[in-house]
Amino acid sequence: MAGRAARGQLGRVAYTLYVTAYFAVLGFGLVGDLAGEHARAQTITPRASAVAGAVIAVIVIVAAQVGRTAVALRPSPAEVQYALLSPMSRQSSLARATGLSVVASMIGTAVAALVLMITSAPQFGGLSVGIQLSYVAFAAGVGLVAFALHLLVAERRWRAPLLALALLSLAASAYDVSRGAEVSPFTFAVRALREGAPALSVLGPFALGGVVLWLALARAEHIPLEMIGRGSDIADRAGVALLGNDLRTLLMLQRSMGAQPWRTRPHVRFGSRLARRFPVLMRALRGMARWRLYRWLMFLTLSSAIGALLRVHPATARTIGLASFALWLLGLILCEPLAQENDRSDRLFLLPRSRTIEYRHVAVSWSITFVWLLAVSWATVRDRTPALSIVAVAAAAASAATTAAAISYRREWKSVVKETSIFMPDMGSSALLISVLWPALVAAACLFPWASHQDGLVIAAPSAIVLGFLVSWINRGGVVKLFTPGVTPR
Amino acid sequence: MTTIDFLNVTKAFGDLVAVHPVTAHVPDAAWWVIVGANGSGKTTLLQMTSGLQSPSTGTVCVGAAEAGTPDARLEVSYLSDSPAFYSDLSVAEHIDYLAGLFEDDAVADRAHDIMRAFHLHTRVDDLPDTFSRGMKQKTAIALALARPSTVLLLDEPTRGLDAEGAETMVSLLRARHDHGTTVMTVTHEPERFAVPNAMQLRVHEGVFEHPKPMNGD
Repeated sequence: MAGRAARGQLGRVAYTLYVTAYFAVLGFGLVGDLAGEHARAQTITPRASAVAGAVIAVIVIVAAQVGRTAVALRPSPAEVQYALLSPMSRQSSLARATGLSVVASMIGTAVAALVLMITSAPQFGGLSVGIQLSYVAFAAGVGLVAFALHLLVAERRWRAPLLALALLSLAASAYDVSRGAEVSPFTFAVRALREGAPALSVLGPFALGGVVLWLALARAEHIPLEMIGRGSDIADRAGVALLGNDLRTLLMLQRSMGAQPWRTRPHVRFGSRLARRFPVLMRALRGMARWRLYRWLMFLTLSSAIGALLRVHPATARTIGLASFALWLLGLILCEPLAQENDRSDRLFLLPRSRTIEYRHVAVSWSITFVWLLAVSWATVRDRTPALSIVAVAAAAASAATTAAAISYRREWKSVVKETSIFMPDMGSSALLISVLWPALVAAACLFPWASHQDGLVIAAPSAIVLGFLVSWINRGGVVKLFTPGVTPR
Repeated sequence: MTTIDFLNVTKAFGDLVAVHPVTAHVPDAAWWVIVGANGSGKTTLLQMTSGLQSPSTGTVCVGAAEAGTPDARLEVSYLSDSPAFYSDLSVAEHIDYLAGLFEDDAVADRAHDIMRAFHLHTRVDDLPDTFSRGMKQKTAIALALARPSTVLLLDEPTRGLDAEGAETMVSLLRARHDHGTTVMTVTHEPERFAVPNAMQLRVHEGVFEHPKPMNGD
């Protein structure tokens, strides 16, 4: 027992280190890229960039530690509902694992949003460093203020206008920056920041973030758990999904964001004859035919954003990273049928040709994703990017999305899998294979001709490889043990 | 001709022994009813027979094949105590999918017939997630009985069913049994399954008694 507990602690520590390293390397990689560009342009010193990167890393490390020591950070709607229905007060519920999980998710959301805003700032060619940092800080500040209000108000009727305001502000900032204009509706705020020290511009959002985190903890009792539990609000789910300190959490929440509820009546009906002749393909298309309007809107918006990102901004590490992330999310939406197959072992497994059918699912999911991503990439960058690179990037993104879907078991079944070794070798080995291939695919995406000459990938590609294999190593306890006959992990 | 053989089968979860050594032979076209308290190991035995769980020691054979292998799976149909459906497919689409995977239109015909027997044929275009517990169970039974199999493994098949539905289910099972299908069912209502030549396997805290004949009508 002691050995098992020690191994559990070791795994916990390893996981914490993994999360920490993941964000630290990601942050440093992206900021390093930024620093390199500006150092060449002699507009900012590497030292200043390093300081900014270090601050980001510290924040992320703290967030990761707080999250991991609080609880496993995997809030699921079922858990939240359990907390709500349990015979104890809301405050007591929140003090337990589920409540802490939700709170930690909110904290992580704030930090993740901050890091994302800073590292994904568009190119600021021609502007001074003060302006650049001011815009980043301003954008981050607007987002955080919106988030703080979101937490404090905690009412559905207030949330939409606040989020709309935040998005509008960010869009206006981005528009100003893209035009290179220094006069804008936000001139006053920007100038106030610009005239301060650049360090203040960087530290300001972090201070604001700290206030938000404190408020989140102080007001934890009033976080609208029902919204999260019922999954009826995209903003809530997106907030939790943004947490990003647990790959599987991200996968699951991303899935649940897009998966419910389905239309009872499909947009398009496919005949039974076709469905029986091509069961896997038609099963996927029938699922898509039940997408609700908001899911289509989300899908098309994401596609448009990717297209715009690729079209407007040069192919830097940041652009590639963001586009890859968005493509991955997009692909995961398309791969929902494959993910559903892996949720329950008694779906496919009990069929005689389960492995064949699973591979068909992989092929169908990959193909649908690839075709769409190729279309988006082709429409946006075909005039300045080699065709081979476009195909390669679309293929890599489709592969990443497919593998992500294949390893995204629903948590409750993942837990059953761990306890009873319910997955059989021929199904489980495919999942294992896919999880091992995952890092290689990510690394390959970073090394394609389109991107390989860009700065920052020198850091990003090895990071992806190392961290990807670390993911596999950490996951081995949950997957490899399944295939040991006679041994039941507990 | 499909028999089931348990040879010194055990199952342990860490320090907890869920199934103590079991050695038994289930003849072809048998009707076995497994009864026992919650947590006594009934479902575990059934899942080991289906191949969903591996024995800690011993072997389970379905026909000549070890449980869980493709040859064994070809013979077995398993009804879980918590049926799972695809959230984005209607019942009719579930049936089409199953028929497509088995490349056998007869699967679809059988499933639709069973849905009709349960008076659910008017709801086949609905999503199962919108069904009540009993309707979901009936749908799951339809899918389990429709697929080609010579062994039916049923985990609490009457769970959530109304009286008429339970009667219909048992009559469907008896029809399959009359055509030579082996039936193994876990239940807390053994009297419903008391058919001629039925055997009852009682289990208490993981220890299985010798099977005894039930008093069928």
